[in-house]
Amino acid sequence: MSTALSPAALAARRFLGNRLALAGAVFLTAAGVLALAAPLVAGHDPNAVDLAAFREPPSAAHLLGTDSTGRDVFARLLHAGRISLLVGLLSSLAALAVGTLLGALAGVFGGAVDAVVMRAADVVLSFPSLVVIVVLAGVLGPSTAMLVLVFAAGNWPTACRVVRGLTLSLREQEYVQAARAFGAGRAALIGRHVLPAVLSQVAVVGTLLVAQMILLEAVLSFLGLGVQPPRASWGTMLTDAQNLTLLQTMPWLWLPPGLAIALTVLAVNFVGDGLRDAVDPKGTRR
Amino acid sequence: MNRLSGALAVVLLGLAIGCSDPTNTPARVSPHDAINVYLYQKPKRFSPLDPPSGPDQQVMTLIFDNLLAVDDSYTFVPRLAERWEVAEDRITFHLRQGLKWSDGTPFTSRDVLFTYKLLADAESGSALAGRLAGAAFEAPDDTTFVIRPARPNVGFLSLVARPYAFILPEHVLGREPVDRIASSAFFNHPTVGLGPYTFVSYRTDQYVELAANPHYRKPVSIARIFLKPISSDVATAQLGTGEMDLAQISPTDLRTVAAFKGVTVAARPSPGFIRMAADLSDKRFADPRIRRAMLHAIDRKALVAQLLAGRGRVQNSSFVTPWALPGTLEEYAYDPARARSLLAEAGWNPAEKVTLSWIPGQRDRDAAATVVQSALGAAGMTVELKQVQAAELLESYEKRTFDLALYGGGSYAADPSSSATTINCAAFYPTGSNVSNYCDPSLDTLTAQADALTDREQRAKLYQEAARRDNAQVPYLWLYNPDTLWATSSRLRGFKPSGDFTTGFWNADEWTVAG
Repeated sequence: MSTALSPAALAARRFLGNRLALAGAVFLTAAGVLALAAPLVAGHDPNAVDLAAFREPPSAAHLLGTDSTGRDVFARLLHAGRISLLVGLLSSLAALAVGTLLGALAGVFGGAVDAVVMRAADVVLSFPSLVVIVVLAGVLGPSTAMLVLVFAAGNWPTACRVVRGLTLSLREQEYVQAARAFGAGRAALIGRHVLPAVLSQVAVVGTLLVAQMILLEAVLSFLGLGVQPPRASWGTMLTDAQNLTLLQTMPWLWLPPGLAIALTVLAVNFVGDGLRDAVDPKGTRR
Repeated sequence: MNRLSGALAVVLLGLAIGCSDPTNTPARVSPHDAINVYLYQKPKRFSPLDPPSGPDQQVMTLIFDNLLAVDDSYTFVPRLAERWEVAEDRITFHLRQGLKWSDGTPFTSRDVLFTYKLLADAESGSALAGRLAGAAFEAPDDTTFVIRPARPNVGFLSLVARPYAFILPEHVLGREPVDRIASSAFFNHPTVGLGPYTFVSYRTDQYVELAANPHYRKPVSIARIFLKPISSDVATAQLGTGEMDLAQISPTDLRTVAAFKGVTVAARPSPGFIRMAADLSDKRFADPRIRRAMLHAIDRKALVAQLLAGRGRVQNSSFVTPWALPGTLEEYAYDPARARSLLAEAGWNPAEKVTLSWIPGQRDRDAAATVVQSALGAAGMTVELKQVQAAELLESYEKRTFDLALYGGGSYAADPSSSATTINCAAFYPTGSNVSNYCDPSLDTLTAQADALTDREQRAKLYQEAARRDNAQVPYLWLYNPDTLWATSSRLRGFKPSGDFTTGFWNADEWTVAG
């Protein structure tokens, strides 16, 4: 290695060298593009009922067949992807934003602030999150915005703890102490030194959160507490197919959403793993 | 592919049903003596005073008893009354002798008198008070009970036969003040009854447990019954695994269920129908053209052909009794263009949003709700779907806070006067079953005149006139009359399928378990 590479370029190289992570990233990009372009690609309205096309197997007209009210499964799959990915991304972003901010505050201020924030995080973590989420969903009433809110409320502590830990060690670093000695305020400390330094770790936490959130959305929608009919999400598509006749004879109704959930979650996890290895300067994997 | 999907199906269903069921092998009862029965919705509680609610009534037919019931051919059969005489101004019931309540207390006509007085008293919160208003009751001796209806009414028996007017124990409830009796704890835990089974417990969201009544008038063979409110899909899967002994199934699952070993399926025409009630006290729905438009917008023939796999008929009347229906009725055939023009004529505002509420869990109804939403949307009426629990739905009837409610059931085959209680001005919910708050005094006059006559021909003429008005006014958005499909496991013997699922357990005292 004759030319010195920046840490970012090194990380990118390590990431691209990880085949699973790369495959995951490619899959997610494809899924994202398909979901975004759903109205153009699907060819059918996902909610258009057509009783003349009742539970039809896949054909040229309906690539993945039709469901129990004659709706096009392919169109529903793509539109469901929009909701699943959107909920996954938004709720993880919200959880990260809250968690990072609180974690940084706790780390920089220490003392009472630290105690309050971390005890709050412990409280949230000590509840079985799915149960709390189901209760909250029942109280607030089912809607997509509710899902994002509730998921974020239940998952900020992960990022918070990571960021607090990093901040505590950063605080003792010489360059941070130097900044403090020169009179830098705490806000500047967080904005200038803490946030840039923890960003890569937060990104790793974030990707793994996205996978969890997509699964959670599917679970809640499957239980009837998430996305409401007739809107499609992968979870509601599975609920609709939860019938012995459909399970035994009409796999086009449950295989596509099931595979979509499984593959997306796998892909996100691969990317997350890849990112973690890539940003770890002591990493041995290339 | 098939093997793979089969294996996955087992895994998925295992997930779906595995957690729902702690009752399969209760420690104290050998599984041979217990059966599992499907309830199509969750019961609330078990009070004959409450407005009729299918699952509550289904449980009550097992733990309580009535003067008379209807059998699988919709004819009246004796229950507590051994026989009865219908005269112009009175109905005399001769009660069976030597009957005992499940706690051993003797049963007499005083219990019947107590119950009917309670049911007729609006103070008690009775939903039957409207039907029984003005009637006089007497118990001349221990085994005779006399009803004198306020006005001559040939159809009266159908108003008090099962699943209505279950007889309550005076020795348990007699001391409760009338105005507070409706909230008595007894109705959540009704352990004293006259039915073949006694109430043991109700585990919300799990099961209602019943045990054989040792004081029933003949020996009851099955020791325990577990009634389980689960979705029709899960019930169907449990039929296949042997965890369910009696269930109603969806017509689209017929072929799957027929392939189960030992499971038999019986189809019977239903005496009720699936409909939507619009709240007609809401001005938006007051114009009959709006309701006609809604019927024209929905392809009900396709609903029957696809969702019911042809096992049913399109309904175009609030009446079901064959002789009460005129030869021809407006069929409101599927015609989206006509629907749009009728809506426009009646000045429907397309910006209005309408909520359609229903209790989810049955495959045909769930799909119907989706189809209706889409069909009305295409005609220019924006509909939002809302899944609700029974208690929430019934409360919205009472407070008139619903827009559209999709529900089914009813027992209208025996006599048309049972249909009249869904459209009479005096029968607004909760006093009666008029959920849509429809009121047309001239229709009430027709049905009252008809019920005052004993001659079938003359009654039929008046009822057919009423049915024509009803058909033109569209007090309900009739959807379809589905066949009732019962599936029984090979263990359960003696079940006689009835088209009326509410009274479907009518001969439960004759059931036995094989092996």
